[in-house]
Amino acid sequence: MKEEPRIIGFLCNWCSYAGADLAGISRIKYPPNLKAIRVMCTGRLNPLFVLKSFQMGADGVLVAGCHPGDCHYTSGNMHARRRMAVMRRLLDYMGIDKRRFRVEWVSASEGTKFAGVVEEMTDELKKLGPLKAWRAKNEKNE
Amino acid sequence: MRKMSEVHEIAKIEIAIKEHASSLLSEGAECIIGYDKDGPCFIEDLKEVDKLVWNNHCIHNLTKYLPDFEGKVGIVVKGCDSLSLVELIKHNQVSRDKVFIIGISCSGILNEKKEKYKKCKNCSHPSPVIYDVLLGEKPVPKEEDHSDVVELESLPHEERFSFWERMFSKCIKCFACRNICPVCFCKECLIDRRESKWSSKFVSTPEILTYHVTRAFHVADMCTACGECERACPMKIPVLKLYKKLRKDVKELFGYEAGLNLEETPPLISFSEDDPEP
Amino acid sequence: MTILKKQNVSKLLDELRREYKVFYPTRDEEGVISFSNVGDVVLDYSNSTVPPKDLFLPQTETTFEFEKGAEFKLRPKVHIVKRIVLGIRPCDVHSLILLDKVFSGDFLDPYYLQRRKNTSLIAINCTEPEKNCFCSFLETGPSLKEGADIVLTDLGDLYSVETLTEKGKELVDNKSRFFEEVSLEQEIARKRKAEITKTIDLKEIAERLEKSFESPYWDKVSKKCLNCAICTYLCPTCYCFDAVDESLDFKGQRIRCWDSCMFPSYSRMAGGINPRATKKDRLMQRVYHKFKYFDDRYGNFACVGCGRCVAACPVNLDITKIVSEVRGD
Repeated sequence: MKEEPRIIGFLCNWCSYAGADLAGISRIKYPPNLKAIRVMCTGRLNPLFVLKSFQMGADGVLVAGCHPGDCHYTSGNMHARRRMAVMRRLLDYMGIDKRRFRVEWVSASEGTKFAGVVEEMTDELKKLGPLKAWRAKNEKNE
Repeated sequence: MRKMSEVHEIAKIEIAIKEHASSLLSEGAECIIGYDKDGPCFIEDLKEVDKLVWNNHCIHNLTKYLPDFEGKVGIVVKGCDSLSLVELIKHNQVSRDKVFIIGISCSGILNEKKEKYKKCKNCSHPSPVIYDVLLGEKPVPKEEDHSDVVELESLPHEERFSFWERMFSKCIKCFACRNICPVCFCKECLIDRRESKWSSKFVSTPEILTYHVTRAFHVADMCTACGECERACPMKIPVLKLYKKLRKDVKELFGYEAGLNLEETPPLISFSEDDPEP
Repeated sequence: MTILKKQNVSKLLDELRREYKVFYPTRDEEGVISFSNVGDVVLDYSNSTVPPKDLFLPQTETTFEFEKGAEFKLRPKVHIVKRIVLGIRPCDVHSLILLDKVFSGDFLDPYYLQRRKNTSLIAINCTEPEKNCFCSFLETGPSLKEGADIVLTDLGDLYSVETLTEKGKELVDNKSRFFEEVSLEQEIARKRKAEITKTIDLKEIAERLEKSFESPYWDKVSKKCLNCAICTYLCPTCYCFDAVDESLDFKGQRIRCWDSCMFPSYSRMAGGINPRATKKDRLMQRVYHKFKYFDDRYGNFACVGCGRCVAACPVNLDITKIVSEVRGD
């Protein structure tokens, strides 16, 4: 049985989490591979959460927030945009393909967009395969 | 064989450093941070000023020690060190008016085998960008060399990971790279905060990677590629290859280069309306 | 005398590998030498970057696992594998003798001691000391008289082989087809290609250290210390460790790992009190421990003169200089 890709989604409360909710209410079909973690704003996210997710078994990470300019807290997502840009490139340089870590802007009314993003990511990750190399296992070879 | 003129030059600089040190101490400075024959030294007494030296083995970045001092200090900085000093001032770790900067233009530092350090071969700032007094002849700056970063970027992801895994599996988490870095100035490091459980005490490669990725991200917009981290590493891990990537990215994404401009706001604590998409 | 031709070393290694896990010095692409059981053996080296203490007191180990289900289960993880360490230097052999004293005190440490019991040591005498070596002052080298099972000496294209213990004699007898008996005309003096150049003044060190406890010398000398762990981690006799329990969902393990007295948080206690809050305190502790406290307690300096701390310190702090200079007047 092939392993299903596991995606961790950090969704901001006001826009992307509501968008995901809308996708559900509208009965839009999309793969069940994403585990949603609601945060109040993408600006709250420590970029190390992304690294930790990969180390704890995620094959892909999605950070979704309000469109730039529409942040509920005015500029949280603007800070996130810069931080995640640097982190994405750093992780890519260390060997975690850029396609595994996506940053998207999904508003509360964009249920279809959210479902589309999850569908795309799942397909892509199925092709890329599981990210075994980064799993943190506390073992040491004697 | 060094040219006679070079030897003269070095001797002149050494004399000038001692003169400035003496006058600063007489005016009540707390300490002069300079070099003696064994590396970094801290002169607090006029009688010890003669210990100060200047030669082409003075590799250490002395700006690391500045935040420890409260009163007025004098410090000897080379071009590369001055970039770190600019970052420290920008981040309020050092007050500009409490430092007397003895800037030295240098044409490269030699290691124990009398070869130039790798970072000196492509020095983009051989002359200090900030100083109160400038000694030495200004050499011609060269282009910063990113070829080793570009080379790694051209490899497929599995190979990139294998490279870093091989390198970091050697790491013994001595934290010399963190402790010698002038811009790693947090009084308490995230990794030492055991309660927050960012990192396990179990020293395995994934845990080691957590530390290095964390540190790389935290200094992303402050690293000036002074290279002390790589020099300090007892396991000869090429950590500078990681930090230079961040410098390259920060320059490409935000048009910012650390250490050059006291007025420019660091990119990771600011934003712009037309930032590039991640 | 018994000799081992250099060309037979890898064949001997292959044979030993069938019964034992064999660790030997290897050199990586960057020139770092460490003890490993994979890769090509390197015996013409001065000393390893990381000392072989890692093979007996690993940087990280799980001492036991625990699980809380219907009942509480505890599983100790004591290590029992027959091993050989080939190519260990006299100073490092002496470091193990010192560590033995620490781990066989009132409490016998099963993790360290099992490893020691199950490991045979084939040492190599030093014929070319490095510039930072000062073992002769601590009487731990450059030649070895006790502490290993077998001692080899480099004589050009062969090694002379001396067995120091019953275990060593048995090993040579069992693998006799790799060794040869020759009678050499002249007395083979342990010829050295270079002499030890570094010095350390250990005269009356205990008294000098006692007298200088409040001396301003320590303030001066500790200012440049970075408080990293290089000197302690690379030291073959440093043994301080930390033990933490890490668990998730009622399952976990106790981890023992290296710790360093040079880290500021090493001596920090609950409530934030730190008896060694300054660099000066920590550097003093290190020097006093090595050259006074350990001697008071166990009758030996806790230093074997390998020089690794001197070579690797990024700010050129030199313990031999400190020990020679400290006067207390």
